[in-house]
Amino acid sequence: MPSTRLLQVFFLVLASGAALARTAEGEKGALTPIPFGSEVEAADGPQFVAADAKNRPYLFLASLSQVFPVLGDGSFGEPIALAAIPEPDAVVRAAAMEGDARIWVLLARGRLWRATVDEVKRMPDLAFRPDSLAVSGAGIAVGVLPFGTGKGALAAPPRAGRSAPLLFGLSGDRWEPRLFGEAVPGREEVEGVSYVELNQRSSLELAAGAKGRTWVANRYFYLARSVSPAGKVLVTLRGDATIRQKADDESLDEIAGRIAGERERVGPRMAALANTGVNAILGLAEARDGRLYLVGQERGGRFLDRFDPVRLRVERVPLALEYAGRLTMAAGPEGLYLAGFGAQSGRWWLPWETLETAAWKPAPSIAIE
Amino acid sequence: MTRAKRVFLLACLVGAFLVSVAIASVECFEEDYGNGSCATVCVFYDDQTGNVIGWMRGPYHQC
Repeated sequence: MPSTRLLQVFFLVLASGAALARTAEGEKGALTPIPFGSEVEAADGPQFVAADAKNRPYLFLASLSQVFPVLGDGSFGEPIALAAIPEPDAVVRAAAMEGDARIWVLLARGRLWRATVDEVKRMPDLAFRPDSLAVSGAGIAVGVLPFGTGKGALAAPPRAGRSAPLLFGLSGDRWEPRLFGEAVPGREEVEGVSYVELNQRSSLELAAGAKGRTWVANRYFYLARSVSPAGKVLVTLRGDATIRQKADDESLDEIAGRIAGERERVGPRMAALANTGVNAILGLAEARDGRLYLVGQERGGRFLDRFDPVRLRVERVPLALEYAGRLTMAAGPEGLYLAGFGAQSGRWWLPWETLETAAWKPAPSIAIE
Repeated sequence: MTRAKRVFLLACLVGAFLVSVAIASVECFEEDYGNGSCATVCVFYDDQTGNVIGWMRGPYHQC
């Protein structure tokens, strides 16, 4: 309806103005994301933002098993109800839309599910523990940790010491490795700190790209690769490979202490390991024009990087975002949408106008290969 | 009940205790290191950020 469209444009202008005003107040040149979808703020559990094949953004609230269209004024439209995973306490750790808001792939309790409005079906098991996922035009891509599940099938299971698959693609009803990473650990490699390192070096954030490609970013250090459906690395954005560790964190110590306190109950060889790694890449999304947008963090705070595949440039702008956890991101017609992992953690958007006029500067120390 | 199953169940109980006192959830997995060697691993997550807080690894047992 024309009046609705006018209202949307009015809110867009209002929001853009507010964002620009806030940018001026904050860190010099920093972008301030604008909150959206506050009317369902009371919802709990994880949330995931994604765009459909027509570029329309949606927010999936996992605890409600509902998908909300995100309207131009930042409010939600009528939700689409998906069939729920038949394990009421299972927390959805990752979710990706299959081009249609009524079809999603979900990761919960180490298993993959395909949820539609009519049914939810368990997908074939993987031989390694799944940790992240994306759906491109070529199908589903799953990032895995190098720990065998004792399930699934591989034509030639990697042996300890050989490179473990990092990324799988679904071919028919069979998972095929697309990209390899850390060595498969044997018993001796998973003791103590090396187990933490293996997790940190293998944890990924994925995003769909054009032509069936998948963006594969490492969560704990700056490395982002565009991978073809056949598993060929097409572009690499390589930054600092150091995994930053928290020097001390009271909450981690507290949890480690509680686990240690229970060790006698669960066995004398029970090991408690705190994850002190700091996320380097929080989330990423490719826009329709082929540019990659990536939210990362360093000691100075969060930043937004933009990779232009035509000009082969990575540019950066500071991001005035307090949230420092995992993000899902989607490029819609009005702007770039960001959603923190927990529905209570926040969701924001950045209008394209704001992004186009931002004070982008060349990203320091990012090599393009 | 085998020792492995007892450890797994106890790990789940400890996990439930931790979840009840912190804004965290826990998931336990069997990890297979080949040659019939497995271990139970519980992963602790921060429910607001999705970040992994830490792990608890049980003793090795036969898969």
